[in-house]
Amino acid sequence: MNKRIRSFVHKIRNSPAFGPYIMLFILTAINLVLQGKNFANVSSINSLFLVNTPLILATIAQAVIIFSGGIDLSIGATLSVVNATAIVLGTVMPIPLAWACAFLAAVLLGAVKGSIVAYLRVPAILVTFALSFVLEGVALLILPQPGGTIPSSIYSVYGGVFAAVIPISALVIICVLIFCEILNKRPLGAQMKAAGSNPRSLYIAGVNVQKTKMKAYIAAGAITGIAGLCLTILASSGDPKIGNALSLNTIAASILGGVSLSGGWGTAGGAASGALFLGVLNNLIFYIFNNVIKSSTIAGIKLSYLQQLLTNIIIILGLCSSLLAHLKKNNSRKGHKNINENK
Amino acid sequence: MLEARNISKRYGQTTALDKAELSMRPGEIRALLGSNGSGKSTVAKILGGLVSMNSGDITIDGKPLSIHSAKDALTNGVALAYQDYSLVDELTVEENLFLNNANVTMLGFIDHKRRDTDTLEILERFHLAVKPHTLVKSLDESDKSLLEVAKALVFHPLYLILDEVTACLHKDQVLILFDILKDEKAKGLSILFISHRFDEVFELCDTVTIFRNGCTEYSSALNNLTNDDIVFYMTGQRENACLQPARIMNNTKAGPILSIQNLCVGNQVTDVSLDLFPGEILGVCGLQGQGQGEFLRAVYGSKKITQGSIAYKGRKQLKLTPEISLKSGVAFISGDRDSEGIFPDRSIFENMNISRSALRFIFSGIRFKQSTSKAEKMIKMLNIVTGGMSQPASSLSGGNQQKLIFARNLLLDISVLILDDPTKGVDIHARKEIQEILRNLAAKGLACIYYSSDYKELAAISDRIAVFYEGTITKEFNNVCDEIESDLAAAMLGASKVEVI
Repeated sequence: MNKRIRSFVHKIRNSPAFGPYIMLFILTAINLVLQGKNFANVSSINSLFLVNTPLILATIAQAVIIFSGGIDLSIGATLSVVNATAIVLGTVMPIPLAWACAFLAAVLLGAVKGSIVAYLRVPAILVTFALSFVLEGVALLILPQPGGTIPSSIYSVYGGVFAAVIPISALVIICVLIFCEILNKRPLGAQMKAAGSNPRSLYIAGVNVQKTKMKAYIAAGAITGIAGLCLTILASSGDPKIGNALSLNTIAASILGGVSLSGGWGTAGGAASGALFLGVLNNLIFYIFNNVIKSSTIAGIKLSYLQQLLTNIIIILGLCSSLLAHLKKNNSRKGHKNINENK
Repeated sequence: MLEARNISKRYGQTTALDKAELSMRPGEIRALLGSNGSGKSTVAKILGGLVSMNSGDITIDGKPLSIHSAKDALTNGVALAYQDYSLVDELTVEENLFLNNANVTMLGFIDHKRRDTDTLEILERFHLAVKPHTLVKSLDESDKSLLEVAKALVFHPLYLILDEVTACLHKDQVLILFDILKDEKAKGLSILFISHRFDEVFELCDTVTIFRNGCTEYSSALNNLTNDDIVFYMTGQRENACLQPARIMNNTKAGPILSIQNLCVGNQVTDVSLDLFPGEILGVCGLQGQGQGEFLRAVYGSKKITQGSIAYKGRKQLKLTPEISLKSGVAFISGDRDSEGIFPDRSIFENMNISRSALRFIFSGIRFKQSTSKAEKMIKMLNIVTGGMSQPASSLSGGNQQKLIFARNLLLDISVLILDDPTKGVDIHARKEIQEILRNLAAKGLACIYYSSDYKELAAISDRIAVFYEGTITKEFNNVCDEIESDLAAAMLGASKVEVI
């Protein structure tokens, strides 16, 4: 038993997500100390997850694409398209059908991105950058101005709590993480990471690299679809620009979550914790500025204006530390070469 | 029986294969020999489905075969192990072995139990002291090479092609590999063995095919060939009597050009002291991973020194980086061309001038006429076979790429040259040429530190030899003679502690 625990600890320590988990833990601890009961109660935890679920899910989708060696700058625009589709179709057909269509639209968009990147071999960053403008336009075509609504029953279910402690939105995240774990437990998991870090060896091993990349984009598309629906519930209405700003956040969150931009390295759980880190950070900074600093001024500058600045400085520090940790890990691994093995 | 007939392949201007022929029979180990650029690797890649041929046909048991991808090759029973690793660094040993494997349960999940036992079995068979769940990037080069072969065998191929897999192995691992290969041969596997090491070929192979300039020059049983015959078929000329230049050691009075005191690098190199004199070639030898690679890189400045000092021309170097080293005249040539040598997509001209132009003021222009004429002179002097200066470096064969890196450093005004296995994967002919070039340069006062995994080569070229074992120099041979090889082999295995003969 003791051995099993030790091997578990070893596994966690060597996991790409070790750093992010620690960062999230520290931040949560700081939050607990500062806010105490204001933070550690069911309703505030619930609202934390409620607000951040779309970002967390979109980050997981981004991470899946980054594993396979790509990147998706159009995730935000895809969220907007899903939101607009769900709201507009909801007015002409039953809600479940409309939302299923919106979800399928995201999967289809994933397939489109995947086929351009994998089969036409256009660099992912170009394809998705161009597509982000196309999709922003499509969202505006579908829903020219903000408006529309969803049945309040959906929101009350989504905003509810399961078994008195677990937010329903957190359950959605857990389901998606289980989906990723299922992918990981199949040969496809390793193949996707191989497609990211060394596509040539995957090809040599007799696996179709294009197909593998395509699968990654489709899986990411499905997760993005769920994220878009969560965003729709959260906003309870339609806005054709609702997700546009999220694309770069998902990339930052992925890196915070220990995902290597060069592909092949990272975990979905790490990516989720990276996104949650952003959420908890915003929560903390918001609390500090509203309850501790309030409207005090220094040298004529209103301190509350500095909220964004401080948040993003902390994010940059977090990014540096996770990149540094990655570098250090690489070096120490090289240094670990055991000389005695050659005896 | 696999037969390839009239195979032709052109890369741009260069013809890699010109109506080459090759056959592989079940239960036979065939050697494929040839100098660099003779098309050995190309034919292997064509059979493995990595490269498509321009013309020719391949048949298995008389049935024509079209190979368009690695997948096609594998489904037809042809597996390849490559000289440059085809392993994924970010995945574990187990995941690499079974990257494309159907060991799954009914629901499509990985059958971990079966996979674990299979992996352990393979690791034991290859005597690899690694765990199935270690990441491949933490493995030694030699272990990676063995893993490469293991990965190819996982497919249970009928035809196995081994492209220079022994280049990084040390002796005991080679023996393990040969046992496995002979075992597989007895089971009916057909093996094509590509290597530059003649002794290995003679030990392992039954038949031989020799390529020269993309054509099949000789193809028959091995036992009626001698070493000289092979060299003749490979190069078209008989080997000259061994050129053993007189060794002159009168520069010791001038004082060392490079003086290394108590050098430590992490925990890989401990307490190494060396003096290097102008005009001498100091051989460094040792098994894989005994710290010599780190030592050479530390002297050049691309690896951080944790303790000790390096004095160059009597001046202590406080901070060492490759840029400072090159500026003061210390150059480094690595045998690891892909990661520390060439820029494959850039032209030969650019590859040659990169160091020279990097050392000048950032805005100073390139004097094209002068640079071109210098580069042409180098190409002539080093006998580099190119399709033109503007061709990408990737169009050259391995040996010519290596000579290109030589040319790059010789264009600088250098007085110390550090070489880390520069003839890895280079054929015997080019090897001789490189050695001759070094000898000539040494006669003009260039000092070299030369590491090679082949100790015959070291004995042929060095004035002195230092043996690395477990991160430090355990033995120094000041008098290099032909009988030194067995002593070297013993010292490399750590047979005796420090004593200077």
